[in-house]
Amino acid sequence: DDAMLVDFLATLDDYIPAIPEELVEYYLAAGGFQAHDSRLTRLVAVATQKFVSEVASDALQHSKVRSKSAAAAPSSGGSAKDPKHGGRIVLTSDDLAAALREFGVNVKRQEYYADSAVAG
Amino acid sequence: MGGGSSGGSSSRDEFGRIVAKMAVAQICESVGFHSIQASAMETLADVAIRYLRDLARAAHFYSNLAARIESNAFDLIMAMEDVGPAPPAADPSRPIARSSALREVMRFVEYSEEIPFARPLPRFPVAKKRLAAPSFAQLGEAPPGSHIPSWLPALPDPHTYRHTPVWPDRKREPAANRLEQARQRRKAESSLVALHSRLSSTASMVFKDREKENSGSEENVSGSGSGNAFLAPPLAPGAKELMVVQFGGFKDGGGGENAGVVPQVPSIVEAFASVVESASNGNGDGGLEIQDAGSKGVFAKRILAASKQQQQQQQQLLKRQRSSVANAEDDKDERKKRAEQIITQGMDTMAAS
Repeated sequence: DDAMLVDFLATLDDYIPAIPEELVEYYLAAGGFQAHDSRLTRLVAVATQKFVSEVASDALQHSKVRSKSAAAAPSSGGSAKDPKHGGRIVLTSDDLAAALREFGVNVKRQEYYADSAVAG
Repeated sequence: MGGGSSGGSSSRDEFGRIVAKMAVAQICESVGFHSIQASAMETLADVAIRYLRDLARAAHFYSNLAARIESNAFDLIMAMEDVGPAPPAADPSRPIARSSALREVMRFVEYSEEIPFARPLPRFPVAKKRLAAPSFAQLGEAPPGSHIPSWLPALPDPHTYRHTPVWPDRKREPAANRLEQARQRRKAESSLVALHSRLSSTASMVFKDREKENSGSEENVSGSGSGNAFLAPPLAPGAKELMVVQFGGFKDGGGGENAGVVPQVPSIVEAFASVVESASNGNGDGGLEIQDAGSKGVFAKRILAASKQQQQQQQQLLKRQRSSVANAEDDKDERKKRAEQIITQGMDTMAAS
């Protein structure tokens, strides 16, 4: 097991995480984490990247389910789904809120903003 | 949600948030999304930043618990277990290397592709280098008093804290002021003399003709120098050919006679000839002694004294001839009168001093 850990840390040397190291170091310093080993910062970055990608993929599933249910209701199922496939898949706040709820983060989105005459 | 939940965004944090947004967007793109809503992106970036901070805090906490200040991998793994979803059967006896969180991360690293960050980033936050005040030793100064070590910063310069009164500096002394005044008076005087000469030259041309005409006929006209034109006997009509006087020097609107005629400016001798003549003939008052002829002031005196009597007759002459033009010429006469007064005042002071 320890050998596995050591190997893993060795593989981390080659991996470049999506979240840049400078950003990770900044927030680690804000939290009080003093790491003199670059592999530890990369481990943190990788963990965060994994978290974010999980949330994003869950949101993708949600949006696909929604598009499928929306396509099933009208008779023209092909045209409704084409914009999602050939067109743009957009991560909306609703899908994100649904995905984050499983992780324990409650995001409530406003239905409308009533702070300007145009919106309200 | 946004800013409130993440504890407010300062200007230092702003940069970090923007970079986190970029990273999050890249991850979403790799997952399969084509675009992302702005509010969703901000939310996700906030969540990611909180995740990072929580990881750091938890790892630090664990290392403190073990009486260390520097965190190591085990602290981090334990923090990851805290932050992530709970392992199915938390067994405290299980070795840390077998933690599910770690294994999931390892699986992630193994199977997912690398997504390098799109832009190069500088190290932030950037610490500004502040210039420290030089010490006594650096300046080479000896600290005042033996109780002050030389490695302390030097004392500030006295001009930075001592306030000295500022006196308004007088640019000139009173003697220089008087000299300046006299100089200006002389300047005004010379310009007025020039004005006089021009006026007398134009008027004297008429006066000369009249004198030539009347000298043979009457006695009380010429010789006296006062030569009052009103006292002269009237001429027979057509007896004298009047010379048309051109006032080319005066640029008036009403001087219609000036059009296109070059004025004849007589020479200085000619101009002062009538004056000298009248002066030498002995005028009523103003019998001045002929002093040093070289000084301009005396010359001016002679001219002005002689022309005082001529003044009125000249003015009347000019007024009659230029009766069509009222305003500009009157102004000139007024100005001349005023100038006269100033000159006489100047003369008096100069005669007195």
